[in-house]
Amino acid sequence: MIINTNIEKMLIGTKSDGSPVNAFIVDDSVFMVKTIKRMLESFGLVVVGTASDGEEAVVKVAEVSSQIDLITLDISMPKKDGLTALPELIRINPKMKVVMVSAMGDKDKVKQAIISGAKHFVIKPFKQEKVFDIIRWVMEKD
Amino acid sequence: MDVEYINPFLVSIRNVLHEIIPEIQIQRGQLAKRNAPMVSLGCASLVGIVGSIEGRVVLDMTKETAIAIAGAMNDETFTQFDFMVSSTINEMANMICGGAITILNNMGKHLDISAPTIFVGKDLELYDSNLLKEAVVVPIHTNFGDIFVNVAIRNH
Repeated sequence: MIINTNIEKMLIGTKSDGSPVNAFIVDDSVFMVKTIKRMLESFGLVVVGTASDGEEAVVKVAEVSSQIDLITLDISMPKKDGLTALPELIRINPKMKVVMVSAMGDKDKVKQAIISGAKHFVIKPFKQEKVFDIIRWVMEKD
Repeated sequence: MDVEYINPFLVSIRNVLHEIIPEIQIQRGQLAKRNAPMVSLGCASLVGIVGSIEGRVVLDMTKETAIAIAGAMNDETFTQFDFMVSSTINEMANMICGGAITILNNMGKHLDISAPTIFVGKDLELYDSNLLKEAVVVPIHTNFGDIFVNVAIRNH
């Protein structure tokens, strides 16, 4: 996937107090972690951690939850999938904004994710501009 | 096997490949039936299908094609087949099958897919269960090499 690093990164990479937006990536695909990390960093966000399944995500996020503003959470993962991990992550820090990631546009899963507290849902493959718009919308939304 | 199950995969592979590799050129080859076992060209990514129908899809290609496609998807040059190449090819298979299953579900099916598994080795033989003796294979010719979409599905 082409990553354009010239995008207006300061628009979404910095909070109103001047500190960076910190992100955490949860995905069992090494390729997707790398791709999402490159995209988020091109927007000026700082990736503070990654996890390869829901179980690992709950443990790792609990350790640094106060630092995390945004989580990208894959749905299909081994051990604990994204939909199962989502309410646990939200309970750890309800201020974190979660964007679900999936290869399937399953309406029931989208609905379940939103009910459980996710702020948005993105279907793979996605363009950088689409992710930019979603992150901006999510970070501006209360 | 009903052609209604094949078309969504052909639509999805075209959509996904154009999305993830904008410079790719794609030409679809002739659809053919193949009996088991499937003999791999060197890199086979398998995705299971469960729900109101049952089956699996294998994206088969040479290791050289896998390395070239992974390089284009990562915007990097890979010189050998490694973990990043296999992860990239599996994710491509995941996106293609996810897109196809979304189309089928929008047609009223109730399907889900398993996480992709990759098999590496030229002439590796893949045997399905007895109920999946016959598969439909569609070659997709690209400027990065050929991808063979091997679909075996049965109704419950």
